[in-house]
Amino acid sequence: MKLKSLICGVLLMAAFPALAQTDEEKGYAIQAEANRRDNGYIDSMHDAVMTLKNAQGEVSTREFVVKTLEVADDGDKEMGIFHSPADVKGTAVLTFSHGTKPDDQWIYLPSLKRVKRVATVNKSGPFVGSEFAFEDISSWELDKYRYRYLRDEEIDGNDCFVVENYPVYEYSGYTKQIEWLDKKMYQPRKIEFYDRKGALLKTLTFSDYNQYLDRYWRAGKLQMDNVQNGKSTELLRKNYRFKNNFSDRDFTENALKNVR
Amino acid sequence: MIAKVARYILFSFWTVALATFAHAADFSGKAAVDTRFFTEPPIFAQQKDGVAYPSVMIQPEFRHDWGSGNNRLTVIPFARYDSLDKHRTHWDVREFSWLHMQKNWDLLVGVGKVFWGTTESRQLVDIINQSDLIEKFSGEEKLGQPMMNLNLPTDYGHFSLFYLPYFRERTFPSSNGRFLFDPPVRNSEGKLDGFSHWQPSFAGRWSKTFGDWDVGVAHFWGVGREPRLVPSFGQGFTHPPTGLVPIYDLIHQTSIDVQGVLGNWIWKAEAITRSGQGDRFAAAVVGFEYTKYGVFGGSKDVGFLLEYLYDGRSSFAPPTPFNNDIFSGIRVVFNDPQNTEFLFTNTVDLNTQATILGFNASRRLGEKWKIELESRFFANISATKNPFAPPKEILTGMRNDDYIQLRVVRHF
Repeated sequence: MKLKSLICGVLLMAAFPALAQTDEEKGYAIQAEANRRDNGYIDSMHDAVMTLKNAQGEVSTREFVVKTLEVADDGDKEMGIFHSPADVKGTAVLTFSHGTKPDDQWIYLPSLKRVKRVATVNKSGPFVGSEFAFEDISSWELDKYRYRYLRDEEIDGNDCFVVENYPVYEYSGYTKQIEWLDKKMYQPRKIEFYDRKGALLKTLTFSDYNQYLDRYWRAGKLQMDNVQNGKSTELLRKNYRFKNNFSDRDFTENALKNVR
Repeated sequence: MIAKVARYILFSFWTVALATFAHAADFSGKAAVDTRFFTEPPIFAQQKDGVAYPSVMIQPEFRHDWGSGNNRLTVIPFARYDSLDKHRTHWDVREFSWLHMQKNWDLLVGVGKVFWGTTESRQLVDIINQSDLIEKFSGEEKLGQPMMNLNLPTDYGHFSLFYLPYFRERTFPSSNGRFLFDPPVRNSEGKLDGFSHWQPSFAGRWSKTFGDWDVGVAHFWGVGREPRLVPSFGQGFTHPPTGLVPIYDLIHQTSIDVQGVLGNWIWKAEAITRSGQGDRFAAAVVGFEYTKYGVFGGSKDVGFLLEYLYDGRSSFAPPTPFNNDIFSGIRVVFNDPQNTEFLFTNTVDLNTQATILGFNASRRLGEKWKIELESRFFANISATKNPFAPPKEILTGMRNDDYIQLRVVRHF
């Protein structure tokens, strides 16, 4: 009898896997689907404007161009080229993302014509003085986190999965993130970042989504609010261009020297 | 005659530069006012002994891309007016080049600037461009170099080939300026050892990334950028030498440069071997930068730099202060919106204890302005005892040239 019910249970679990899924498995499944839907765009390019605002309301801006090349079975290759502030114009940063292994990164300093290696263990440091940390803007890879599904919730009229993300790479500034993932787009609407003490540090809100190539959703505006120091950073992403025919040779240490 | 031809070419560059400016798609650059404060009077009687010397510089940059981004014209003139040193009042064409880019190669023709190397304390392998020594006595500032440079990115690494048709002599301070050798260099008497300024030089470099490591190997054949400094006896051999004459030689130099990342450590090394100036010799710089992140309550980074410098050259070769030295430094990066940075450095000669202390700081003001502080202090540098013998320490003439420079830069 006991055996019979056990067999029934196993059969039932096989037939309806969702019933047997733990919250961890469900969280992973959701993010794996998000990852699957975003794969295959091959390359992209966009213009970015970052506006930093301190607690007194003083504003400074940075403008840069981002080029991305998808890499099969590894993290993306990405190049950021600064156009402002004027003293860093022409400065370019090349990053090879790797899941849990440290990224490879180089910075090109145009006044010296010099390419320097950058140590990338510093995930939690601020990106160009903004409220975005390096780990917030580097390419998202599925195996950089462990996941746990929390609940379904509506946010501004959009149905979302709420998933906790736990960084598994070393030197993260966060104990966890809580992410509201849009059920239609499988893209984030909001992410809360919790610091090493477990307290809420920052909130990132995504808006102005557009769909490209009939498949890929990209947010036009990212708003990062630091709830602990009152500073905020707005990141606008414009002029998305796909199918640029980029190759590995456009993403090398030497290629940095000719970008503008 | 050659100087006249060179001057004519440079003048033509200026004319075209101005014409380009009118149509430039991209115009940027910088202008700066810097003031140098000297804390001690100079050692030679003919040197000006004021305390504060202002100086102004401008470096506009014009870039124009055409042919769907496959072609680029770059024009970067440079000019400085200096209140202390008439040689330092100078101008140059830092870049004036046409770059043609294809998927599998690119070619640069014109006046260009190329940097090779990895270490902080010394630019040992960097040889394509001549040092503009009056602009900065460390030699980090460079003169524009006429070149044809073909670059071939391949699966076996990046190949960069250079044909350098014209040689440019190093700049030196005038006799009333600061940072003089003892005795001072008489630049107008500079000699090329059996060739003209049109003596071509050739160079090639291969570089490749192996995981966490970047490696470059290069060979240079042509006019060595560093001159020998030979005493000249203007008043006869019974009197002490009146100056040093720079003499340039044909050399072969093979080099390797490496940088790699291991966690918080960035390892750096450069090495050369050179023939053509006395016996063949080798020189190397090896060191690291270790960075501690998020210190001083939050987002500041502190980097610790340490490098060892060795140079096995003989006294027949161009002089260097870096025969057997230890360089150490601390870099503080604030990671703030103004990009504030401090750098403290210390270079000590292990044989003579001759020491150069440095302090640099910089901070952006608003979107377009930047303020920079640069200072050097010389210590334990002995005076020349025997005026007939060349000084043991190349820095002897600079031992009283401690300075603090305040620079205000406007980027545009």
